[in-house]
Amino acid sequence: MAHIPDGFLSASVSATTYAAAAALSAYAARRTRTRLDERAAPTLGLATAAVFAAQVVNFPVAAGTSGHLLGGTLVAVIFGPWAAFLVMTAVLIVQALIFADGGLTALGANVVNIAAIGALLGYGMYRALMALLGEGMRRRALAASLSAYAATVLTGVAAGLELGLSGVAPVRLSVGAMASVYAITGAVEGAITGLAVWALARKRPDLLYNVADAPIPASPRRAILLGGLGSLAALTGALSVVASTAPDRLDRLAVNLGFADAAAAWKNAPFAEYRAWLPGAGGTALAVAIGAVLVFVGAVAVARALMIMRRTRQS
Amino acid sequence: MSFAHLDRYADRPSWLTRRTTPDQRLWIALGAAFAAGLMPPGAWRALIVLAAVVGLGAWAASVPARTFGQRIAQALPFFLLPALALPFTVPGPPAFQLGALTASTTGLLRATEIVARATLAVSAVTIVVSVTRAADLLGALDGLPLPRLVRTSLALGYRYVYVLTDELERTTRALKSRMGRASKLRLWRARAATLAHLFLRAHDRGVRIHAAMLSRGYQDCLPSLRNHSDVGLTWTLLILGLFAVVWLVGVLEVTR
Repeated sequence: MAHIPDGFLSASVSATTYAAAAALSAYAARRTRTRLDERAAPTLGLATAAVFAAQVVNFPVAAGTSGHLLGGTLVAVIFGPWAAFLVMTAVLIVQALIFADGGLTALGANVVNIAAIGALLGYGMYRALMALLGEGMRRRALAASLSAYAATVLTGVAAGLELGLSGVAPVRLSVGAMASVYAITGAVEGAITGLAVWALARKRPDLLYNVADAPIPASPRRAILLGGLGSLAALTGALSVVASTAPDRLDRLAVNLGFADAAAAWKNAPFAEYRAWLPGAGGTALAVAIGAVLVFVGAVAVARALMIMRRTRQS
Repeated sequence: MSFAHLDRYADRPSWLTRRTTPDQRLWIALGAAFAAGLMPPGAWRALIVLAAVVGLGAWAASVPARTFGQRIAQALPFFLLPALALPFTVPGPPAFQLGALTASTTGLLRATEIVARATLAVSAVTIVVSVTRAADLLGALDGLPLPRLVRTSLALGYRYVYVLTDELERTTRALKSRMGRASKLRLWRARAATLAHLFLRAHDRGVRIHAAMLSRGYQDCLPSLRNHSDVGLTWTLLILGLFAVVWLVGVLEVTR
């Protein structure tokens, strides 16, 4: 269910996602106009037509099934993130209005899931990976492939969250189910995007959106580090919603053997039972996100300490 | 390739087309879709009234039942397949057993409601799309608060999607004739290269079109020859008002 149909979302979720989509569209139009001059309009029109045409090409997967391109990250790699957002929005409007693929009441949600996460977040991850991997045709293709995969999975997580918040199914269930389905869809999307970017990088590297044209932060390493850390925290926090609340094996053993109360001292730990300040799933997500950041910072600190020790020994 | 089949009944005179313009029909479609799609759970009576209004709309638009049914059937998998999972995933009192899966009555009720709401919304949009030319429908989007770049992209996208699809069909045919026994990996690489080629052609054609448009006096805005008329404004407001009343009745039905 790449596109959420009518009837699945509640009025509040529909209104919230419409507001987010409208704000992003207005900002994207401003950014695209200042970055791409008036040439943008015809080029974006052709890009919209190309996405439609590209979705006709089927890729055989297995057991008689096939997949096709969603295109958000690929279009962003070619035309830039904000232009790609507008292209995907145009595609979603036509799909909802003329082909009944995706509902009109869910258009805001579909724009957020497919255009914003697919194009904007996909491009952000692509750029971060490019900075880590360095230049080169294969590296470019690998970065595009991985970011397309991650963006597609996150599209599924967002759709699951919206369906869950609308009361269609429990949040844990809808997010888990959508993330599982999109993990497969994402593999197809990642492979197609990677192969297409590789072919473009070989044939016409000038066509790919030039990263050098985009504003580069003063300290790229710090930006990448903070961006990566932020993404990690957001992803682990979002996925914690679908984690099982059932006791693990050690907990079960402790309950069965009757020494579960012995661990009561740990109830006063800062984030006991994976709860941080907020009630319910929000508290769990926050605790897991903080935990992911702390583990990352701890690992970096240990690595730096080991490096200093090695240098001291060598000197 | 062409989307001409979508415009098959666009010029057929009917009660709806005589009394409303394409712009007004777009608003009617949006009104119906929002009233149906956002109807609160449990508002069955309001949903039945809305179904009667949409049925009346189908009669007023004179869309042949077979064509209407075919178009609904094409859209059916988009919402029917996700809804089919609900009886087995939503917790509640058990209704029946299907192998190892147990369907709940809560899930069944929720799936039925969602399918009813989605069918009504899709029906309303299908009626309007059937009696309005695709070009007019895209032109009617000028009346919506969309960024100008999106509207221009839609207009140019509609104009060139046939051209690009024809090119893609030729490339795909050539690819099939040359890769009859190719391995799946080679086939994937070749098809991905076809897509890359498609985007390359789209980009280059976009640059050429821009140059041609500039030479003809393009000033960052596509001129429109559409005739803006307020002929059916009263009817449109009446129909939109009716949808609003039905939705409100639905809300009251649930909150009481």
